[in-house]
Amino acid sequence: MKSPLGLISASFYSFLTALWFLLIVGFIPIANAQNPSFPAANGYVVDQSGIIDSATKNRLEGWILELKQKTTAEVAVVTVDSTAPLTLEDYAVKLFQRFGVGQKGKDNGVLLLIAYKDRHMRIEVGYGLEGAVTDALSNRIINSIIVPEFKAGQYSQGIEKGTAAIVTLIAKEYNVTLTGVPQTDYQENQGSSFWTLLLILCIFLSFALSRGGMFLPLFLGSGYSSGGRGYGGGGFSGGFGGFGGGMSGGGGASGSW
Amino acid sequence: MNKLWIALGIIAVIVFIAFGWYQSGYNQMVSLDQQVKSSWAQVENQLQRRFDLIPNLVNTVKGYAAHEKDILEEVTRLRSQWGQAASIPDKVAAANSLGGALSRLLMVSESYPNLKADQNFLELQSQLEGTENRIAVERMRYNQAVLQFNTYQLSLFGSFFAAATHLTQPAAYFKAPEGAQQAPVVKF
Repeated sequence: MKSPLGLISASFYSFLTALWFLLIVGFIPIANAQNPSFPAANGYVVDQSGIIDSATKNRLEGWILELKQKTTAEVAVVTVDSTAPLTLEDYAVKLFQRFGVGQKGKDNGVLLLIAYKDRHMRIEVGYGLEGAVTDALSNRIINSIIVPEFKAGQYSQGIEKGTAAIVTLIAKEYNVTLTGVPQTDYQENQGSSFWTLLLILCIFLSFALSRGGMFLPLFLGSGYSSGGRGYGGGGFSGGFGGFGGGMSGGGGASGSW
Repeated sequence: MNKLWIALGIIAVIVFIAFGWYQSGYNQMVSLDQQVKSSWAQVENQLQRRFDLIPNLVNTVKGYAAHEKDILEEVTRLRSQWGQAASIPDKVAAANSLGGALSRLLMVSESYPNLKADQNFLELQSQLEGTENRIAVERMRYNQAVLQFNTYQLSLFGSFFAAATHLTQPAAYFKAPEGAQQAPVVKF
């Protein structure tokens, strides 16, 4: 006859196994909804449509790397053929979160997204830079800098000038200067007065400040950790070391050509 | 004697595991709840932005299209309704009808060339568009948080932890307005 203690421990073992099983089954995370195809973040410039020539791409990578080293802010330039089945805006905010453009917590990133075959583009601005790259300025970068070049079929030039304008705005926000970035030339309509711009800047800035950092750790701490992870790619393609895990909230502007 | 120690050791391990399980489940419930709350705060933040833009917009439109009184009054009325709404479902309903009225207002503005050329109006219009996009983003994130919260609440052990944390009420989704797919009717 077995001792009662032996029986107890045997049943405890089976109970333990059952408990483990339940633990594992009970905590399988909720499966994420099927995503549309997003490119891999293997550089600051991800040219899936192949419309940026390699010399331009290297220049852009250089500017963005310098910007990151001086300010920690990040810029991603991405071309895709189409954003279907998502809308441009929806795709942009999801891609931004997936890449994690900008530093986690600071959210100081900007994404320039070109949907080449859809003929749409968007500048998506991280929460932390909404004061520097306002909707109005994003709109002007798209419509008076990038679109005219795109209409002429000059994709590399359009993207280069647009990126130059974006990194210049960010550098100005952080009071640094970047080497070799050409002056921004907003082609028309410098007319909207300085004071209007200042007022808008103040509104955005006060908004950005009042937003407070307290919500972010909560986002990043649980459900959004998969989004905020960034890519620890290692130092390839001219010092790209992965994005920092920033988020955006729909700031910026869209346009088409 | 030896077996007694083994049994006691096993009990200790089980207690330890059970405690760890309870703690992680409990904390999961609480953090999902906080996530819903913080995402809602973000939604409100953006709705507030829209709210703040309206008086300026109404005044600008009034300057050019004073006889569009109905829609202007409706926007003003719905704005104050949003200001008074207290619960989340009330706020969602008020925000949706306000959004609808605003898009009708912008539709009406289309037929006033002078208004459309007004720099102030253009500025407000683009700010409003930016705000609507931000509302859409935060609404999406809020709904994702609600989905996670509600799913966990109904899951096998989630319901147990929901009872333990007294978070048994499902969170309310921010559904897009009913008539969002229909084009607004413009009366002349």
